[in-house]
Amino acid sequence: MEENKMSDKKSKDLITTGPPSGGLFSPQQENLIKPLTTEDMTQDYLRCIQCGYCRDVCRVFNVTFRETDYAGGRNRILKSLNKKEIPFDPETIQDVVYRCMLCGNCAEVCPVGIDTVHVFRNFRVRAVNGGAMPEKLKKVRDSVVEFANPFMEEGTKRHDWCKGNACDEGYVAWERGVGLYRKIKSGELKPDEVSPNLVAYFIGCTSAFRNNELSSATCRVLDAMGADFIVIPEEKCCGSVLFRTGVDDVATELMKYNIDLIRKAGIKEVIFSCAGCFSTFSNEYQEYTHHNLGFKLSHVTQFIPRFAKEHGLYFKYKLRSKEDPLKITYHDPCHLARYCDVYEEPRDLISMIEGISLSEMQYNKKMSHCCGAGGGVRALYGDEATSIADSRLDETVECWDEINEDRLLEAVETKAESLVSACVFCKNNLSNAASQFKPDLPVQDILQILENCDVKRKDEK
Amino acid sequence: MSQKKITEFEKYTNELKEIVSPSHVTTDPYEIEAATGDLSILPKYHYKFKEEHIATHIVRPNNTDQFSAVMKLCKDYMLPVTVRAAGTSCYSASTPTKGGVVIDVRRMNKVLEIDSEKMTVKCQAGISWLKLIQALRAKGLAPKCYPTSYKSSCLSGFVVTSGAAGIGQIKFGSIYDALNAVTLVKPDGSVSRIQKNSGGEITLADITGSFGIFGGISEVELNVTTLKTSMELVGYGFHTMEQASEFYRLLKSNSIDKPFYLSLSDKKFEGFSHVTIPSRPFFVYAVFYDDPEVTAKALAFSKESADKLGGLEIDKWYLEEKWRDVADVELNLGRLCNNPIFQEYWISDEKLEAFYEEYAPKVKDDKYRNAMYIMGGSNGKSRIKLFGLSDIEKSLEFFGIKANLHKMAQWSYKNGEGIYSCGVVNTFYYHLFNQEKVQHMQKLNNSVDPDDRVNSYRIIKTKMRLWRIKLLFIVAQTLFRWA
Repeated sequence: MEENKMSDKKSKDLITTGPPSGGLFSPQQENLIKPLTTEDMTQDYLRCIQCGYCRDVCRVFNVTFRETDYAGGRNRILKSLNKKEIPFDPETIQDVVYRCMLCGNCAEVCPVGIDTVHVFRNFRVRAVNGGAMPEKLKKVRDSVVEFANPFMEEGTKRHDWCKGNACDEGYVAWERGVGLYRKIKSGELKPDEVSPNLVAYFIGCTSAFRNNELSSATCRVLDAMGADFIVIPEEKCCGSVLFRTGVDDVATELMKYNIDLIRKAGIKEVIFSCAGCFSTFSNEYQEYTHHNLGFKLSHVTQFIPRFAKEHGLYFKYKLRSKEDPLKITYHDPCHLARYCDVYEEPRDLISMIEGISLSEMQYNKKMSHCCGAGGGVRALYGDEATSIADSRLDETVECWDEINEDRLLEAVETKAESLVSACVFCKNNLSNAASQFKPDLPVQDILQILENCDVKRKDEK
Repeated sequence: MSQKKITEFEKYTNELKEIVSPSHVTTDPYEIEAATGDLSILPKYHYKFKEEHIATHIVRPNNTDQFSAVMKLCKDYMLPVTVRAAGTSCYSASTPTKGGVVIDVRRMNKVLEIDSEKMTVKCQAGISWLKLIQALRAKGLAPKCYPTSYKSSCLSGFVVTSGAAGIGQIKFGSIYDALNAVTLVKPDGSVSRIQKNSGGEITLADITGSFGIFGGISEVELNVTTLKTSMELVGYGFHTMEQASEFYRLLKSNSIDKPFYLSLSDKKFEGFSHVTIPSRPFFVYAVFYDDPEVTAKALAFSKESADKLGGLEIDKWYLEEKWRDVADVELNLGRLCNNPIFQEYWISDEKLEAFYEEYAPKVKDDKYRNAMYIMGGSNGKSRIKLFGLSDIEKSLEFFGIKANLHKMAQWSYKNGEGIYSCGVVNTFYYHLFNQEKVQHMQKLNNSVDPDDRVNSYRIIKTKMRLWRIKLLFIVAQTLFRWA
């Protein structure tokens, strides 16, 4: 036998039935030589080979068509700034810095594997330190500094969402939280004596002050499942909005506060309904503590299916039946998906709900399109954010059109009945766009679906 | 005087905004920095003119009417214009060599009509290949040909740069063959629909390969083909370039089923891309894409031909992976060095060995990291791409490589061949060796753009001074050898 036999290696997921049209760079091409790397991740943009792949997936570019709005174009500016070929102007550079959702889709298709989110977040820190902070962002920073939330709301009103019969389950959980901290403070209970089954629900600013329906839904679902949980009574903003926009100094102080608050109560697991808070704890908080936070982190889409499996529970959607399920499609939030690798658990959870059926959009999981709200784009560039969200809604409708063509799903109706996500920002941005462009397409959080479910034991069937 | 200038600048800025919309006219210096040039990663100072000539505006029209109105306004104000799309040519074709207005056509990215019966598609010229391919695929159709840069490039660039090599050209012909018509927005803002044999001063053949000197194209009508049902991949290793070239030519001229894609690469090229590679020094790779009975015949013919020439069959997994990363392998060279340098040549199939004989001694002792691959093109031609992997920090090596590539360009022209890609940086080859084409294009350009405002310094006018180029390369190569 001549020298030929290269190896018995097999390539994965080969599709050779047509022109290579779909998909951009596939990271699973394991036989491609690995690219050069840099030690300093903050200067990773130097490795950009200007291939332009990121341009196609960038939702911002596909609305604005500005060369500085996608990763490769921004890298080009960073390179020129680095070589001092162009000046840093705190006023005019703000669009280059901030018109990015930090969704990370560009990183998924980058042939050299640049951690674009890391690079551009660092760019924001440098920009802020250089005086390039938009006025709107200054107001957000000032609000967080003064009130520990970005909404200029009095911190003492943080838990008003559950008071006065607004949400009894939440109020009781809040009272349990107050009780726990009182006992810890008085020495009646030591942190290591706290039950390992007790979980703490970190509400987050948006659910606390703006989207009470989500904090309420979360508490009702947890209560219906019989989970042992508290609401953290003195939580403050997690700092997500500031970390995302480069105001790290203020965010770091909040981070220290929240970590200390949770640690001193002996809490073993914190759960989140807000994907932004969850992502901030899972990334910035973990990085700060060198992955030694001292308590476990779970998004509700992880905790609920795990708890349900452990306790033999399932969910029955009250508004529809197994035979006539509500047809939903799931939008992967960037904070939960690309930031934290949570792809399958939300789908597991949906599959546990009798009366709900799931179909995927064309772009899902790692290649899911951003809703348009990330990275401060919603706050700073409202029009662009709505436009991006609208295209995501179009895709939802198209996905159902495609499904219709599938022989196995001929019975499926022509339109998506609901677009479901697991992030309050995605819900708000997509809802906002839906109200303008697709009023017949409801946008919900998965918790709002669960809130309308009966929690059943499997042996009750 | 200064006040007057500012007033005029503001005046036409406002007029542009009225035509297009304020959000798609920008004078933002950062966007101008990013949009002034293509995706080339060569160091900025390498394109000296890039620093000399910076655009004043980036304008993004949405349709032919807006495009035309912008062109007309630029004529009224005598503003230079550069029309750009994705900028993937890497020959500085998007550089505003006279400053002025850059018209970015990528907002014009809509499919206007797909006629499944006539098998045609009409679309705006700034559409990306990915979007066009996906839209056609949904109707069971596919473009007849497209570039290997399809993951990031646009339709319009491929049309005006001739689109003679890539995916599909051997089987279906070049982009010119696939074209039905284009809508041309001329430098004075007038609009012409130019079809094959439609007569008129400028023909469709003039448009393909014009690099935009006659204006910008706003719409394109293409003939397309159907999605096929069978794809077969073949690959054989050979000991010599002669054997490999012979096999390559046999596949290319096979009347049963011409390859949808065909390449011949040296081991270095494969080695710079992949971890595990074929063992022999030359590798011919072909993709057949048709109905099952046709591809089966092509497969049998390939095997028979390869056996006669002593070809060694390559593992199937490698062939499959190569197809999947067909757009990525060239990029991979860019992943391995700071400044990949390359030149593309357009060579008759029967002269492939002669070209290689000239080239091989120049890189015999691996004076620098180099690679070669050949991609099948239309009309009995092939695109040969020579690479040098270097870093501008190693300036002697950097310019030494360029000198080598320059010598191969000279050899090509002296042997009746030429270069494939021509942009701003290498237009001087046209002037040196292709006077006939230059004169023809000059004549047309004098008629449509007598002031030479639109996409200047392409084909008919060279930015680089020949004596400087020659001197630079002589010195560079001498120093490189000495070093």
